[in-house]
Amino acid sequence: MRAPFVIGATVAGVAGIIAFHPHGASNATTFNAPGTRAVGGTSSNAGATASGAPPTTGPVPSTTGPVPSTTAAPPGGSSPAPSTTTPVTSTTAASGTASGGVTQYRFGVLQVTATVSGGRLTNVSTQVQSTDPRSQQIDNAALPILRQQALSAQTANIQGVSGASYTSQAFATSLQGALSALGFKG
Amino acid sequence: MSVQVGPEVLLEKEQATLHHDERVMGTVVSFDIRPGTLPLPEARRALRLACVSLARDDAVFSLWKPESPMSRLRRGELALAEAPDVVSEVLNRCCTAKGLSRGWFDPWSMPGGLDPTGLVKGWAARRALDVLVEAGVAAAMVNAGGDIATAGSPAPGEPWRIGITDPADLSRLLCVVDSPGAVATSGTYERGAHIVDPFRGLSRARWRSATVMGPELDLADALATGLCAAGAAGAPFVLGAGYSAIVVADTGVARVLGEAPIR
Repeated sequence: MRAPFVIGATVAGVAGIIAFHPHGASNATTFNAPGTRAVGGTSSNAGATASGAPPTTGPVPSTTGPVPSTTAAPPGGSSPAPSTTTPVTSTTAASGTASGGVTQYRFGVLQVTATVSGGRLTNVSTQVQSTDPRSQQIDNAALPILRQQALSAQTANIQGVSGASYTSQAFATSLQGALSALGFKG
Repeated sequence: MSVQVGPEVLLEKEQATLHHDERVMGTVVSFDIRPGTLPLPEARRALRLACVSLARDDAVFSLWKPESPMSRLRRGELALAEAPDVVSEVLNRCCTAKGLSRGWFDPWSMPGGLDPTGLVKGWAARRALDVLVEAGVAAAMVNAGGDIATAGSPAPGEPWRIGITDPADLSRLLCVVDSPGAVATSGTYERGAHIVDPFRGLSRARWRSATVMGPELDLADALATGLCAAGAAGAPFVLGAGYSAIVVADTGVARVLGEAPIR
């Protein structure tokens, strides 16, 4: 039996929502297929936030209130209620602290707590429980970067993330839940 | 001006949204719903029905559940004629995907026997989306573990914008695309090798990740799996099927195949 252990990471900082920046991809050519072109460089709209990105076990607070689910309620419903909620119509000057859902990823669960002050994200912390030693390496590398990304941009420009990434999606999902609970809109 | 929506008053331009995460199919499926003129209670009801749809499909197709019809079919304990109708439907879609991918997506060549998993997740997510659309929501997105089906516009004139994870740096996005209806990513990063070369029976991925975009998520899902296995040889079949793709090589080099809707 694998006992979960807390590996860390309460990080504190300032932020809005996660922003990702596209890489400038290398110009090397790997193959010539019809209609191919390089990605990168020209990719605009780098500011991006992830919402609705799986995997999640806990319900993520919704701006319109909890969604009733009559079927297959997520197990392990350990998500704490957000400490602050704001009505859906709140658009400016959101303030308060809220936690997103306890979000599952490949190697455990994580939960993001966000603090918004005067309409700006001013603090992000992450709690991680891992079930796999390998996760320590990944978390240690990924979470500070994710936090910094969240700190460095204040806009929410995307609705979803496609990819096989677990850590970043879990972080984004939980953060999005926290921000939604605060009525925060980047 | 305000619009009365059930017990809640929503300002004009303030679209109500429903967000829900459902743990199912070995992953989490996220819903993002814009009810539009559909009253919120009806939108919530549609969401519940969509979750029921996912749970039903999971019960039929899960290979992690030994008692599922798909598992029993695989073991030869169940004849196709005795299986639920959706099994034939999925196998027909698999057949279509196998043809479109010129054999690079082949559920019949998987180790351990028939395995339509590479298509089922996208297929089930699309069915869940259809439940919402048929109920009358203005727009919705279903994100099944990174495989995304969308309908409508999240805001007037706005597409659903989807970030594509950079496999070289999971904290970043490679780019952002406007969803054409379906965005599916296959890859070996974080989940390890699960890509099979159907011609050699080897666990093998030639792309670190492959994201396929087009109209239908089940086919996008299957084509992404096939493209990962096929590598550069996969470009013609993706384009021929009317889909586009963004692929990342092990070197970190990213390429676009076809007219991908990159912002």
